Amino acid sequence: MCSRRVFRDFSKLFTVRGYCSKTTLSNSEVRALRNEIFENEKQRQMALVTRVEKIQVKNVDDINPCKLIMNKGLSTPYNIAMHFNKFYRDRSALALVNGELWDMLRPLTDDCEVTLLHFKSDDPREVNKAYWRSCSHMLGNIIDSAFKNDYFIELVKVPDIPVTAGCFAYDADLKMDSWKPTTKELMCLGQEGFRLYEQSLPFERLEVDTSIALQIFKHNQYKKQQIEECGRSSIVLYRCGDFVDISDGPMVTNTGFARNYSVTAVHDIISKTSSRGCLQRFQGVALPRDFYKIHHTTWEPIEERASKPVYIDSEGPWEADKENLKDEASG
Amino acid sequence: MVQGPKEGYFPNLPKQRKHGKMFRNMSRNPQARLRILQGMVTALVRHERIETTYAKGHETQKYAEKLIEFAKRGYKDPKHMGIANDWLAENDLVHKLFKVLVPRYESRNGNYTKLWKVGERGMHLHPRASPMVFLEFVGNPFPPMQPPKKKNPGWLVNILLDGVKEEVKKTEALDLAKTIPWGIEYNYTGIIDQDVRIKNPTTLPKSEELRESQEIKVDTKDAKAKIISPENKGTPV
Repeated sequence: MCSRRVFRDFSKLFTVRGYCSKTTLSNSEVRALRNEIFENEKQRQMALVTRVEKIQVKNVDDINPCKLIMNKGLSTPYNIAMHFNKFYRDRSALALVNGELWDMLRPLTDDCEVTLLHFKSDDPREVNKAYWRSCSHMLGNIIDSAFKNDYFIELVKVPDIPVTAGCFAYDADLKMDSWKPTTKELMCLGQEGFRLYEQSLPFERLEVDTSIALQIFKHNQYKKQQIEECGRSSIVLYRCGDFVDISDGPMVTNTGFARNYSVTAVHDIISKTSSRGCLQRFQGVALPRDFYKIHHTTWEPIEERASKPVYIDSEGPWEADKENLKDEASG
Repeated sequence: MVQGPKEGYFPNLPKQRKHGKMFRNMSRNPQARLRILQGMVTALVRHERIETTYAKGHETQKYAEKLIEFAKRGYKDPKHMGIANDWLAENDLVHKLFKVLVPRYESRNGNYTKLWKVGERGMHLHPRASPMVFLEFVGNPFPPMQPPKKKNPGWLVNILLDGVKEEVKKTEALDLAKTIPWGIEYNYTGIIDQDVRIKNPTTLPKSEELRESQEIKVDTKDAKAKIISPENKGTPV
């Protein structure tokens, strides 16, 4: 009896070491900490705008060209769209301010000419890129929140995958050996995406110093490394709900654009940065609300294509079975 | 009173419309009816696009098509020239018919005209208002009735679908699809259907899903290979 108990305890200890990191914090606690720091920093920056100044904004558009007088450092391109109608407000996903790409929820700083872009415009390439970026941000949110608190997960990065590859992705370190999700689990992850769509959470942009960024990501070794390597004085952060992540470049207005959202595949890739030599890559596809009338016979082949593993921006596939066989042969 | 065109000149008009009625009589006597249609045809050749009610437009469409079919045979035959003179009330249009319209439709067999249904006239005034219509010659110089359909290759759906199409083209799926005897396999004769029924269950995917409360039972003999790990008791998600 005694020996059995000892073995049980040993096995428990072993599993705890194997599947959890050295920190005692769980995922949700780390998430709350990050959110708190972000919130404080945002309020500090908002308090800097003490006096309301006016700027002239020119809307250069075929439908309703006009001039507006708006508040400096407070009003955004979204407020321009709010002046016209609901349809115009909901469809515009991105803005061009003096030829520069701009988030819809980023405040304007000077006199400028603004054009609003949407998914069915004549040249929607930039909007598509921004949509792909924000969808992978959502995928990070899902990975961070979906797993139980026993598993401490570290997100690594958003790989640079073009739209023509057929899927967006997020690399994460699950610290589990060869976890292959069932179809039901993948569907559960996709449902989380649909929940985000229903809430239509805004993507909030914030530019912070590196010291604060390091403080936010002190529990994540990969993100810390990324911040130190880039060597910039300030870093751009995005928050969606209570999930904070590093990302350059603009994003769409809110998560309400991702109508058909599905997580399609999880597979292993080689990486030198992680201790185990491999990372998990999550893949998914989504379509904006403008195309929600797509028939299921056209949607299914798109999903099928996205379920094939994509190795762009990585060092190739990682095959656990082969290495295990090698180990067995040697020892 | 001007005599209308003679109906006997067009031998192969549609025989029966519905309920034994050959043509719409338009609540007039036959001569007055033909005079209306003559006016409509001349207006159509003059302007190439006219707006009328559905009944008149649909009726004139047959006569306009026949007129061009006869004109395509050539202006040297006095019979064809006579038809053109009868149906076009204004003489200068005879020249237009043989010099402009006939060369335009040389490579075309039928369907020289097109009918566009455009709502109803004065719907707010009367509940049973007549449906209106645009009748036009194909290939007219006016701007098109409907805007041309765009291909939109930059849309996100189309980018994804183009990728799917290219992947299918690389494989041999399209060549295989041609070899499948569709006519035989989907026949409703009972003999071949039985074979299909036997094949189907093998192709169905197996369900390998685990519920959260469910546990995997392991035999003691094979326990060496499979140890119950905490992963197997429930899903991590």
